Amino acid sequence: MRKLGIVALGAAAALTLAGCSTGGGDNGSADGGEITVWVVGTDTPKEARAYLKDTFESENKGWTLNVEEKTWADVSDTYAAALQSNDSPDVVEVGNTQTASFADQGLFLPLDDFDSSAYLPGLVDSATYDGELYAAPYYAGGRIVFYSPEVLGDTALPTTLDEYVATGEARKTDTVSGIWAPGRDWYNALPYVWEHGGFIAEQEGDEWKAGFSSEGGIEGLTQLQQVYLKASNAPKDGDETDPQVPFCAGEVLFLSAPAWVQWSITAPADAEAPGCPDTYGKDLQAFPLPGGTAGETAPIFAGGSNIAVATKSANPEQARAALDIMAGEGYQKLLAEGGLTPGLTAAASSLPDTPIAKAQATALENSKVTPTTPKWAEVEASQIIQEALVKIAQGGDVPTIAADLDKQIEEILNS
Amino acid sequence: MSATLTEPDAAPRTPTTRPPRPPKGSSAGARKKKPLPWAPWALLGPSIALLIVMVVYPTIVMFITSFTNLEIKNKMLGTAPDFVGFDNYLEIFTDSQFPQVLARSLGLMVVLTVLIVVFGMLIGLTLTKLSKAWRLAVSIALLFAWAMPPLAATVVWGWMFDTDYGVVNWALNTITGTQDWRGHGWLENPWSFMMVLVIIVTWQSIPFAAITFYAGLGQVPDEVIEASSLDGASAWQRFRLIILPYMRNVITAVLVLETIWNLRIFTQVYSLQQQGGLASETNVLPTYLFRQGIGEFGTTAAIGVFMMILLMSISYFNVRNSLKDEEEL
Repeated sequence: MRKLGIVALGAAAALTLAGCSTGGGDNGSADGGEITVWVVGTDTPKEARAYLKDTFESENKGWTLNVEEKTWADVSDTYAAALQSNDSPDVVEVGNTQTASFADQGLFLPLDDFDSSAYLPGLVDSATYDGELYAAPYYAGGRIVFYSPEVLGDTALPTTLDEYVATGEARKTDTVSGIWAPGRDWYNALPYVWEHGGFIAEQEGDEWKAGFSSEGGIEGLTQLQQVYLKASNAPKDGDETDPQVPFCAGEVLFLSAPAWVQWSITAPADAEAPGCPDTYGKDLQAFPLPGGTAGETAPIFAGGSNIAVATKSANPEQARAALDIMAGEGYQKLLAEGGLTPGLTAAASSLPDTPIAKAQATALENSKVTPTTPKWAEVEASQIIQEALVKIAQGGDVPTIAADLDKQIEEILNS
Repeated sequence: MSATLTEPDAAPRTPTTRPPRPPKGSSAGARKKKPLPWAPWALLGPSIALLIVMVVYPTIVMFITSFTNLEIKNKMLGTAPDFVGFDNYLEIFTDSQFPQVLARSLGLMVVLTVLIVVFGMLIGLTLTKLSKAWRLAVSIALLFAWAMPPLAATVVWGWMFDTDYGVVNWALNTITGTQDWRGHGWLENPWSFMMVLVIIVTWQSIPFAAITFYAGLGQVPDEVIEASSLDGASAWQRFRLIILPYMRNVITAVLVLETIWNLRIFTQVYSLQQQGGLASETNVLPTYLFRQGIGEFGTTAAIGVFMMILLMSISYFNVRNSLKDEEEL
């Protein structure tokens, strides 16, 4: 008994101490403090992170700024938990499709006096909720098709989506994927649905109607199933992370991925996540996913991020200052140099003049977004689209799976 | 733990068995008044406070929340949630996935607990037969498996079963001399997923059971074993009729703990789902709870209350039996 008491006393003391220490750090005053910025994934270039820290700290004497890197898997539960806590980060990057949902839950502060006219309209729309702007456009990104001339050989580049699938099928061997298509990579599945006239969900009056089981949706998903079954060796239940691994093994002909994946592929061989700058990544090329007729592109998913100030930020004023730097021209140009389409339209002139950057710009001209409703984030978090695609990749019956999926999407959007 | 639980039950009986106290006023009588009860309470205070803060309060909040439609919005805007009665419970119990999730959880719990206890006992028995050096080596190896963080362990196991570059597929190809296992997705099929999961969890849980059983086996008196073998009892008879009864308390404790741990297993399932497979066909109760919509506190609390009741009812008989045994001793 006595021992238990001592243990308990010790535990209580430890808890009290821990409680004290968390209180101390983040409290700022006018003289100084700490601002925490969360960026997602590795795509924000190192130069931009350093620029943000230096600029902020020189403009705000006595303040320090920390950039922390999260993963896209964190941007639902981890974010929701952190943003409502008293230990909330101050500025966060969030996916364009998720912004409205976070704003709806009251987790972001509205950005007063932010002139959004100079930014990409698509991203501004995604950051606007109930007529108010809750986030600043960060960057946009589209998926393009990478290939290595060494693997391609004499094969001609496809000019239509059907040719693309046919080439992928023809070039698939036991070890080489004609098209790298892991089952859970749903962003890459959307162009097939859209190109054939299908849709994710549309509003009819007050009701949302999902369109994976529409005629075009089923056509698109059937073509996609052909890719999964006959053109790809990727894991049927795999996701889109680390596509440079099979690519650098020479096991992929066509890799449809965000433009920044070029940096993963060309990363030095001694990097923490090595690429293959001397072999398959040497003459890396890319083209926009072709559409129904030659010369056209297929509609791709307009990915991207926004940046917002957390409602629970201890120092909203300084957080806003940090956000303004990230949305400013100097920072946005650094994003552009890293191959990301900057949210600030004027910074696009800094995009590198490479075939990859051009391919992305062309691809983004024909792009679509997910349904604009705060409920959409719930559809993404529930992973129902990914799961339906895995079942299709495993050879399931497309119309049945599509109908089930639509039912689940409608249940969430109309709840 | 069990000692503290039995204290109140045991207390009333002690006075009758004690010898009568010496009459008051003799020798050091003047100072020997009835001792003030503050000392035990002062010692118990911190642990009671901790229990109230960390167990009782959250449980009450969870219970209340399960009858409301609390959302993040309420917290951020400072508004009170509405009471919705049993709506959350109805929503769960009528959800088409729920019966499967429950059955999967219970099935997994039974399989895991049986495997862990059986293999734990076998390894515990083996430890008693080993030489000192070997015993040390095996104990350290067991502790390594136990000490490894479940998340890290699951990620590594996941790599071993990786579809494209996993060592398991490579090994099977090498052994069979074919390419049949190239690109075999171990996590795609829910049954295969569960098999991998069972391997991971059992691997990591056996050390605790084995070492606890080994400690318990030390309590079995050698002379009884020796006497029984002289009387011609076979190894199985010695185990069943002598070792098992002596070990009953230890086995009950391990069973109760493993039952609870295996029913609320989360890390390994969740992390393995990140690496492959279909979450909707492999969810167990805790991951099902976690995968409810973001900030749907009402529904998740209702699942929590259900799990608590389930765990309490499963453990109740075991705990009561072991308490009874201790009273009898």
